[in-house]
Amino acid sequence: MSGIAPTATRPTPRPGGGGSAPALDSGTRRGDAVFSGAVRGAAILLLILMGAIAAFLVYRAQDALSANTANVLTYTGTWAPDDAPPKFGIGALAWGTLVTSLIAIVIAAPVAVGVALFITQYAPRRLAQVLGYIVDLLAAVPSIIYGLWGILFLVPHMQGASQIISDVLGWLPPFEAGVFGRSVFTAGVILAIMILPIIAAISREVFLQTPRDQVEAAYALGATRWEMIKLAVLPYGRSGVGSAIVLGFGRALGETVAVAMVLSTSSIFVTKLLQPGGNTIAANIALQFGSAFSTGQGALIASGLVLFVVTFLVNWLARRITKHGGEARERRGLGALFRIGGRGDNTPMEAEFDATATAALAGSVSSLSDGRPEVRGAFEAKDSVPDVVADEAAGRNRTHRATRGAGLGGGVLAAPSGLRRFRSSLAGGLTVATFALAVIPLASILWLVVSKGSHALNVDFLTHSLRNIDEKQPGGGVYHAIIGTVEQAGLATLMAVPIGLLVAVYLVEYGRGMLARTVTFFVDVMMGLPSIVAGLFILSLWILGLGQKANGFAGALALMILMLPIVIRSSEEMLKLVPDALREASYALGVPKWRTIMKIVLPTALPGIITGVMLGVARVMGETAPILLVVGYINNINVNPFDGNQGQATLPTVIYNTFTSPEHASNDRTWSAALLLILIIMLLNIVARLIAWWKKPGRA
Amino acid sequence: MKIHAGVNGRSAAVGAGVLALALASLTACGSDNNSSSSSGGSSSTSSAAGGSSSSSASGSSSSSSAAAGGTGGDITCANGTLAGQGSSAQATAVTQFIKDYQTKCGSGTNISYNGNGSGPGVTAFVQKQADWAGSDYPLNADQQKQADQRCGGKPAVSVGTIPGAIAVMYNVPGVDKLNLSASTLGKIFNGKVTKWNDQAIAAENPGVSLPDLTIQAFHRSDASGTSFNFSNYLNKTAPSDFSAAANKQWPGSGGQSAQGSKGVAQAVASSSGAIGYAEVSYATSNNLKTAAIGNKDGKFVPLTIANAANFIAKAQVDTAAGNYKFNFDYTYAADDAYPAVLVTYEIACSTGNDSAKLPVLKNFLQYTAGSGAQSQLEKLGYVALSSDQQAKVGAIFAGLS
Repeated sequence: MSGIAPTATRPTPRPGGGGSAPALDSGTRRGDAVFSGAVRGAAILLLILMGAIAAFLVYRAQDALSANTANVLTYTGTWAPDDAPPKFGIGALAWGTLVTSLIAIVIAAPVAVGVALFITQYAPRRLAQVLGYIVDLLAAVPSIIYGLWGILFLVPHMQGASQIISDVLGWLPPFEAGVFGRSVFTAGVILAIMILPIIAAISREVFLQTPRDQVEAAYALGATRWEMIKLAVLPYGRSGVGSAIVLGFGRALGETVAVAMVLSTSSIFVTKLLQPGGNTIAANIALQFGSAFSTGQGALIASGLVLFVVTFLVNWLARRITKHGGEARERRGLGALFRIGGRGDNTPMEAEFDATATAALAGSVSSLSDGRPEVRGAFEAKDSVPDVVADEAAGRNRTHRATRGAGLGGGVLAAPSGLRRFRSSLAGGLTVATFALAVIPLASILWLVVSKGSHALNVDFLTHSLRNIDEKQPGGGVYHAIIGTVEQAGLATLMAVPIGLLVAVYLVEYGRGMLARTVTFFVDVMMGLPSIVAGLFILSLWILGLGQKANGFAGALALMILMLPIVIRSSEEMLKLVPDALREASYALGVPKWRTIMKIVLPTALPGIITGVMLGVARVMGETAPILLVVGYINNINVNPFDGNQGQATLPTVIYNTFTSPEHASNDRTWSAALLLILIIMLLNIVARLIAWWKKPGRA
Repeated sequence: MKIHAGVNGRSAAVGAGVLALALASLTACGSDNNSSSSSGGSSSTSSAAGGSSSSSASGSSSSSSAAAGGTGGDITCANGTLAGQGSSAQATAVTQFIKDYQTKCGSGTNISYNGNGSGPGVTAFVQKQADWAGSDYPLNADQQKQADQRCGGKPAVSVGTIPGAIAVMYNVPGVDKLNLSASTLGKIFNGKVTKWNDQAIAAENPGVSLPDLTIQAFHRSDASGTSFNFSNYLNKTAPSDFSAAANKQWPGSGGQSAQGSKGVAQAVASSSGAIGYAEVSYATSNNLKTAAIGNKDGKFVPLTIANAANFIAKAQVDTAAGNYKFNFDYTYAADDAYPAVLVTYEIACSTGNDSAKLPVLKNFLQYTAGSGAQSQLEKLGYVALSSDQQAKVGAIFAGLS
């Protein structure tokens, strides 16, 4: 099946092919016309939606910008767009956004790469597999959890850390006199912890992709493990890791609640990293949207647009880097890109591949334990049966299979010198150290959430609301929030999946020319849409513009916008993986295109699509920022998301609305809600992975 | 165009199974009934809630329009759903009142109050997302225009209902008693005084050993009526050291910020050397010490409810256009009058309210102004209206239509 060269477009039934009965023919033509009309319509609908979002945001922003009497780039006074005269500045916010994200990336990038190296190159096979999954799951932990941990645990402890840094580096102006917890530095640290799993997960995938012949070649030349990494793994993974880092940067830029929760804001161009002050665009929207009137909303939208454009440019840059990474890596890079949206998703093929690649690596690693490669061991690893199956299943063309290095005998190799061995073990030690460094905060988050959250998590907690419960009082629960979370995510899924699937079918099966390119571009754009901007859009258009209510459905609409690109991108990937041979076989039997798609292509890709959708659901369930903007928060049960009188609570908004309480009883509930949220999201991820694993090609 | 159960039968079954499981667990009975028969309005419910889950599920209306009397005090019940939003300063009190009201009236009445700040409250009210707003300042001319428009051209009213005091909370190890004049506070909150052992603070606190500790001054990061009233006090009492006019967006320079009254209180409680301001109930609940603050004459007045009540009693009440507004007299300088106070307002449409919501809106607001609710205020960390004021405010709410 891999004999067919990859084609730019899918095969189509040849027109006028003889043999099919006339009656069938006319029927299928009509069916094809209807079907292609439907998918094209979905694609055009998507474009209209994006166009509407863009036009509306620009229109509102322009209004506010023209009313602004201050210099929007340099103004550093109070955010006062609704005063007369209106005054606001976006320059300082954008600067603060960049600074926090840069701090995050400077901390996270090296650590994440170290973690990925440790998992792929150093950890024992079984451990590596487990660690890989843990990293993927951590990438799915919603930001409200990181924010909660940040404000309640990290900030109090950051004072000491800031003191040490300022003692050591205080002679540098940015690190002057820091004794405060709520600085941009703290915000940067939290962002770093948040994006670390994402960068690590993608880098891990990229490193696993290193062609084994190159690895073996390096070993065959007598390289130590570190030298092999330098010779084979790092050069090969450079572009992939680069795009992972840029994507992590993009996520840090758009992060809202975690920053809003920990940063002490002020509108200045922040230069002292350890002192309070500065603000980010997303955090400012979260803090100010509530009190914003017309001009204020426009001003926030204008700042949201700036964020949107910057994030888009960053994502675009990441794609460029990946594209330059070369043919072999492109597919993986794309996979990684859509994984970012899916927050650590694993397609069936990749899951399979991870396992075998790790097995292969582990195999060669174990045979190299004395630092001397053994050709035989490496060979075995390379041509193991599951390996071949995985490659076949993924439709990969491995042309350079086997044989290379076969001529080398063990006698050619010289034992590495002591210095080289020392260097290698030093590097190994360093990756272990970075891994430990990454594990400490992440383990601390999980430990805190589990240990504090298990107090109040009981049956009553799951079956009662917070109605009539005051903060001092134990009891009560989050039943109302579970309902809200499930209903909003469910409605979003109901809206996003049909549209997303149709668009994906269009792109893979029909798309070519301008329309397809435009749709692809806009899906990319939507991918980079910060969630707070999606919330802002629904707030200002749906609720304020059209006079709709701030109920659960408004929340579902915002989540739908966030989910659409995830569904499209993951379904697209899955549909592309369906072998063309299946389509051609179907066409050869005279089955019309639409029936081929409905009966052959979609069912074949379905497990992967379900996986993608579930990961998308898991992601939007943890969203806080857009829900804060568009859904009224209540304490009682409201099962009707279309209610005109009241909103709904969701688990993230319960956490957000209760985390500042001084009372033990309320704190217990906050942590329990956090634990519950993590459990639900983890469960969705695990089930999604199980489906992927269960239906993976080659199994059974 | 249905997909036949073929290749994908099993995975579809899994999907359906998962969905069914989720639904099954959801439709299992959930309950809003958390009340464990607390007598009307007492906040000292120590018994665990959620015990009796036997009663009806959500949505089903049970008892309706019960008459006043019994343990519910002056509560007149009405069924319906009400959404309020606004001032976090009054959140503690309003939450308690809602609890009283819902406890008395049963599951047919759902009132929510989101204490996310006066600014968001007023905005939400104007944008019809809230049925009434809590705010620590009455509507200004610009907002009044927008609010009137929201009420269909009929006037919206700002009715001062829950007075309170702004506590200056601090977290300085070893310091149990602290005097701070308005001018020193102005310097602290403008970043001019940065150490706790600064001469300005030491001079006002003879005999107190002040540590060599950096001051972390916390203000609100969101639009806040507490910020408005506290900056008003500083500006009116010590204009030379705090020149910025009162503003809901904290007008001082320097310092750190946190979101909401709770956020400020939490920040102060968790940061050594911190100082911040919030309605006194937040200082109490966080076990934070409060400073005695200076009045216009430079005398230090400790924070007690009685002292705050004395200052509020001197306020001039403006009842024009159906409002009930308090104008504080910051020149009043008695030894027992605490000058950093606020009155939180309930803002609602005088007429033109949604007829389905009117009964519960009217009755609930009337309850907040009645003696049953007001008598609890001191215990909750607020100042009660005088009985004369209670009657007048109650009459305004009774007249809503």
